[in-house]
Amino acid sequence: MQATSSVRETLITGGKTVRDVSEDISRHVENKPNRLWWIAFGFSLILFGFGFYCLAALLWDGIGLWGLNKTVGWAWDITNFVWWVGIGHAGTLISAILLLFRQKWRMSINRAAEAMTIFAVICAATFPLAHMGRLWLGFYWALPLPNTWGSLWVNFNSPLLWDVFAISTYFTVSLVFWYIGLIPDFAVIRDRATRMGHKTRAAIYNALSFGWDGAAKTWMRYESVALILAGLSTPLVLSVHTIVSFDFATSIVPGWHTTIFPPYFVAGAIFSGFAMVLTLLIVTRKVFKLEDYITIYHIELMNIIIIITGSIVGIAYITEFFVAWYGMVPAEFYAFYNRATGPYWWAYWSMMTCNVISPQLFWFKKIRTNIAATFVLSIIVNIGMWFERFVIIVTSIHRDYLPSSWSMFYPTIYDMGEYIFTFGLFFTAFFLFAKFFPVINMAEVKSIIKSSSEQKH
Amino acid sequence: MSSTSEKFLVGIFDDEDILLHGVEGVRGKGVKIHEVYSPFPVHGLDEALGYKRTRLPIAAFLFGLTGTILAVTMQFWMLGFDWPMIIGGKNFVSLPPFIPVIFELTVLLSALGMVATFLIVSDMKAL
Repeated sequence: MQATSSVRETLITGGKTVRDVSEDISRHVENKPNRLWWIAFGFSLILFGFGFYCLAALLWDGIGLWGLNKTVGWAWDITNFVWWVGIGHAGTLISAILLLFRQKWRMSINRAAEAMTIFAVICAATFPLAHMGRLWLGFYWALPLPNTWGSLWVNFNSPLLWDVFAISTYFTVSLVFWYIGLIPDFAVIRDRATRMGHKTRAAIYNALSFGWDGAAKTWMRYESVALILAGLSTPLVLSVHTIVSFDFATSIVPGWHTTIFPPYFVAGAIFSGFAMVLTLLIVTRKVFKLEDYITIYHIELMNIIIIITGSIVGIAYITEFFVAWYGMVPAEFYAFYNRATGPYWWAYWSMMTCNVISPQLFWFKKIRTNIAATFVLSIIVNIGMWFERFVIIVTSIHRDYLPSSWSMFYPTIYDMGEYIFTFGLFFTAFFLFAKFFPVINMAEVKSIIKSSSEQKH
Repeated sequence: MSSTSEKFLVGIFDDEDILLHGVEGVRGKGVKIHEVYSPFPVHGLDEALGYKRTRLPIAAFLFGLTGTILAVTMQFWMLGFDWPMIIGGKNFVSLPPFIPVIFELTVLLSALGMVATFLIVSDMKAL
């Protein structure tokens, strides 16, 4: 039974048929990439190369190359880690939580958003790995492996260890979820390649699709798997940033030691994740001419989620400040007073402007349905979210209980270099994905083409 | 082919609703349907074909339970018996700090185990 609502806007425009969907999406995998793709890909490779040099130098000489000092022992590394993990929250949220809520608009955007999630989590993982210094021993420090220290196991009481389990589980489950969704679409490309006589491509995509046949029983199992993975991923996605926030919340550092962190971090993660999805998809739909699949309506719905999560984040900032004053703990109050008026005031007020004020512009329908405005604001949101993590981390520790050890943090070229490395890695991976993988979930879009497109019956 | 009197019919449909009604009609006449292939999931097709519900949720639960038991025994044994250590003056073994790892391993094993089961029972392999 399919019901077409007259209230909801159509999700797929342009009067597409099932055949058009295969054609429009597979075309980008089958054809040679255009000049714009090469320019963008080349630019990301340059970033990747420069960043790789900085990373190699860091591994060779040690993390003394970073601008960290005795007071500020955590700065850009953890800021960037939390920032990337946060960005990595949108993909699984879109594919899991929106699936459970039966939000069909997820179908045009989930594939690219999940790919983004996976690449963002890889980028995030490079920071704690690099911070280990001797990366090649990292397995023994991070995982409970038998070792020659008798066996001295890892500390299961530490939130940093919970992070290891949370991030690696999140990465694995997101990757599996994403790949399961890709299987039927790989089969479409295989079948088209067989028909066109491309033997090599057919063999490669047949292997990638695990020989998918599309039988009714396989589809039944497939849908069951997708639903259970969504059910598993929903608490998982909420747990990941909760556990990341424990890195701070379970410490006794004023400014970090707050119980509001888990929900506030999760809201912030969804906020920045959706902003990054918008940044990427606005470009992707333009380059690949997918305006009929990712419509203004999709963009508007994502902007509404940005208003909601942005407002939650704004309320959390204000609550934190209020509790710091109301709690009457001088050290706690100083940490917050120092954030807003101390030497890092500019970072604090950048955060407030970008995260609390700028998303409120989306209350205006004209702005949230305007592509240029959305693109600019989506980048501003992520700048704000970077400042949020920087403010929380650096301003809380740069002035501790002993004024003689107060200090400032100044990044070196290697701090910047590793950040640039992750941008290079992220965009290189995303462009490769856009070239070789179908960027929109064809099977899911086809299943709604009758109920939610402008197709004539 | 065991017998030459067996007849095979192949039908091609360009609309999922017509397919669904066709399947119901053909099965109602007592004709055995060998297989139905579709480019996207057709809702209600599994019931129309009379398939039993998949038991993959049971597999997911059992794999998840394995993960829970593994995480609990691993943490209690490592920090409680194999190498007890005083960390921050706390007990060697206490449940609350072990919950994050228990949760993550439950989800991890449940997801991986269920997907592996799906690939095996559906006879899907890369080569």
